Amino acid sequence: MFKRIVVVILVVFSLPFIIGVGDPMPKADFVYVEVAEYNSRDPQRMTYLADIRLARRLFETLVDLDFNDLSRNPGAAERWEVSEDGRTYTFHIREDAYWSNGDRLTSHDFIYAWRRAVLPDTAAGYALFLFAIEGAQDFYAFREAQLAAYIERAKVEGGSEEAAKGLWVEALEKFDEMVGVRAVDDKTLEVTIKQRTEYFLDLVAFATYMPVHAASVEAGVTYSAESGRRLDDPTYWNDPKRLIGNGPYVLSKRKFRQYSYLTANPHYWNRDSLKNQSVLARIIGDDMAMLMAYDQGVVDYVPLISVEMAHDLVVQERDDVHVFPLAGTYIYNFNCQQKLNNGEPNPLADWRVRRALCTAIDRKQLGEMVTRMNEPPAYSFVPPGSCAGYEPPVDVAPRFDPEAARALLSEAGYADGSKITGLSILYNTGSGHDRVAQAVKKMWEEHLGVVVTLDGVESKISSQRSRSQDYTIRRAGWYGDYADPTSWLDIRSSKDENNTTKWSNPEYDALLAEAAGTEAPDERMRLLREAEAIMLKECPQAVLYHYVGVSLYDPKRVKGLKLNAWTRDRFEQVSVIDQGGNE
Amino acid sequence: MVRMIFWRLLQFPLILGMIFVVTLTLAWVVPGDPLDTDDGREIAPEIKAAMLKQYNMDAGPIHFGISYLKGVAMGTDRGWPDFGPSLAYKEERVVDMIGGSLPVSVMLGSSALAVALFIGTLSGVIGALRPGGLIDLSSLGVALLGISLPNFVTGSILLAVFAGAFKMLPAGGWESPWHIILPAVTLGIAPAAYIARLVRLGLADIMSSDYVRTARAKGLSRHKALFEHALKVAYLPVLSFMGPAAASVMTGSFVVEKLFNIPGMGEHFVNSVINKDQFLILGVVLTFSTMLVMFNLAVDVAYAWIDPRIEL
Repeated sequence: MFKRIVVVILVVFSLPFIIGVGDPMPKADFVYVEVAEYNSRDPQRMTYLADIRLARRLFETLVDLDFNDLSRNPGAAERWEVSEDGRTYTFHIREDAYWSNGDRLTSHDFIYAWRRAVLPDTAAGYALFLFAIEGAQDFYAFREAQLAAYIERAKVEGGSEEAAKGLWVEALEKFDEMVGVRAVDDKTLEVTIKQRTEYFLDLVAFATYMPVHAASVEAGVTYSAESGRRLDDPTYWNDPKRLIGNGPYVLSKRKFRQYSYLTANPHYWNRDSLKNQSVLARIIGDDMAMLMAYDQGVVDYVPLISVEMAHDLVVQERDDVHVFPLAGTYIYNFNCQQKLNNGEPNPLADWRVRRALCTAIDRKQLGEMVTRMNEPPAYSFVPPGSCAGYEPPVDVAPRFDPEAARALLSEAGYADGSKITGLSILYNTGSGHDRVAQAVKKMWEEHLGVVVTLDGVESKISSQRSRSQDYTIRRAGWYGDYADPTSWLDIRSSKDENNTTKWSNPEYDALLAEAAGTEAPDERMRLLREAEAIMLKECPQAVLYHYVGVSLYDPKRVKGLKLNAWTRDRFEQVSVIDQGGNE
Repeated sequence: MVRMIFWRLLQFPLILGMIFVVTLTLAWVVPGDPLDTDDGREIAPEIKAAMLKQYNMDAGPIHFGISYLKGVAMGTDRGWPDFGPSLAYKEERVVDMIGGSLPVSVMLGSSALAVALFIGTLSGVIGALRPGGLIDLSSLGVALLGISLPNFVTGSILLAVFAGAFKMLPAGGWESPWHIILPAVTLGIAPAAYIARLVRLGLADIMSSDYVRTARAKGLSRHKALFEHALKVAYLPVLSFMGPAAASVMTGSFVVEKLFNIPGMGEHFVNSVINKDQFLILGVVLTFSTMLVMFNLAVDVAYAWIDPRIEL
């Protein structure tokens, strides 16, 4: 018996050595950490920032936005022209732009990709960015109606793949007819947009506008007899053997939740400028494990350290710990509806109550004592310096002043703050949100006598309740998608999906609309500034602070890495000096 | 015995069906929208509607459940049940996610069990040889520690000592057999403690029983009595402990996997629920239930094999 047990144990012990455990990570010139596996590598369907960063390594847009100085540079297009009325853009794609399999990059690839983005079949999260193009939104609606009709028909007559394909042929014709994109020739793309849009080129530089290799994506398309929809093969985007890109790198190897290994794209037009030949993303979710991997020299760069760990590192004053501002604002949304969901009158419907609450928040203390990251206190929604040519109206925003707050509150009819009841702060637990909520609660109690309860939930529950206005005060954050104030200001317009505060101000909406139609950049910025001033006065949200990021790399070893507020790093410009001093 | 196995297998689809219905109901009523992104961006309603259609989730849980089961029954090209796409990782198939991480967890789990059996049996036997002696007491102490310390503490200590201070072993990852040692020990220490106590108690009990005393009186050596006869009987409770232990250890431990950065099943258990990833939740639960039923069956069979007194 004993012998048997010994044998079994010995066999099991030797198993890992016989079968092998995992496989070694590929060796790369530059190794960085991702905290989670990428959610998507499909440029049209991705919504997460980590995915969007990765996409820029695998694909190249027509226009390349340099997030360090916000300049618009030639990308896959070597030049472009804009018509007098600002509505027609003509892009000239580089002669030497190729796909990673050697195929020529053509204007048709862009049209194919953009069409994918505005198809309900794809359900692209950022389809709205393409709706700037003339007819794109109508085409989306057309295809939706077409599919709905097909389903009804299929219920009676039965559907078939042939019928679904027929539907697609019809949709293709409709697309050419309706949507303002046209291939003048293989290398020239003409785009007509709905109205003059100052930041259209910034949109073109966004992931949703990236080209995809039409032939290989199309190879995986099937048609659903049931719903009539075109179905992509999603595994294409994960498969290093099939995925074709036009960016500086290609996906060479990857293992789910372990790593993504990128190597230089031999057909990239600007390949000679690459400072390294390979980049490895190691996926490490645990903070401890991440720091240990960094200390052991396994990774060169930790792009963003979690708030829980950041403070401990920052106080060490190491020269490999880098703190930098981010283009995002930490906010507390107020439910601005007249009545709460339970039918009770909403004290927050009165802007003076909201402003009083905002005025009673000591923002400096939050950064110094609570988060302890010294985040810049926020006196605007658009972070100052994040958009070229725009200075937010910080003088309008409420500043910490308990007396003024109390005066404002009694003006609103609440001389006694404790008469305001039923408020609670809804927040997603973790990442230090608990501590901020506790601090703000205490400030309101102390300075105004307003008692709120704390309501910490999972992130997805918080979003769901926000959407149905099932909250009074809710923690949120907002990062810009593109470097224009509208990327922030639009979400407070009455009709925007993201305006879960339900704050609505006709004057604000009118100013945004007027700015959209304004040609002169200075005048446009002035109108936007005016709009933001209205928002800051009426406080649909309390702006608490602007985010900062903390990253980790040794500047003596890692060269060429530029941190920016938009966290869009350019890894092709990075070189790592090894221990022997060689690059 | 064959009849027992047959009956058990016959019950199997019924059990799975019930688990499926309960899980689907729970996954469906739990608040939170799987299509929400964590960065707080709202998706336009028309696009969300299109997404729901894409995943067959637009017509309620019954419709979804049936289409899901259809997929499972139809299977993939390679003959595995098709658990559908993941909602969080848009380009992954759930079957690939489980297929990639289950072997990792099984490998780690069996190594942990081997560690547990090795340490457990050894210290149990030594303890039984000299009850009340120094080794017995210290093994009792270690066992107590092993049971009471949560494995993130054990794991962190092991990491700090062997990877941090001595740099003898890698800090994390899943790249070579060396990467398995620390997590396997971390995961194996608690069951090792259980096994040690089970073996120690069982042996002490049996060694003082009448039949062993008779055998000893007839001239059987102490060693022979212990290893050849007593251990076999003393091992029965260990065996019944091993069934569920194997299933739980082999389906992954979230904490240990996170700490050592191991791509096993544990993370799916937790993250699928946080992400409300219905496809993944169902796939993981079905896989886990299947394993649990199979392990229990295996333990019952092993019982009969070791102890002929047990009839099945």
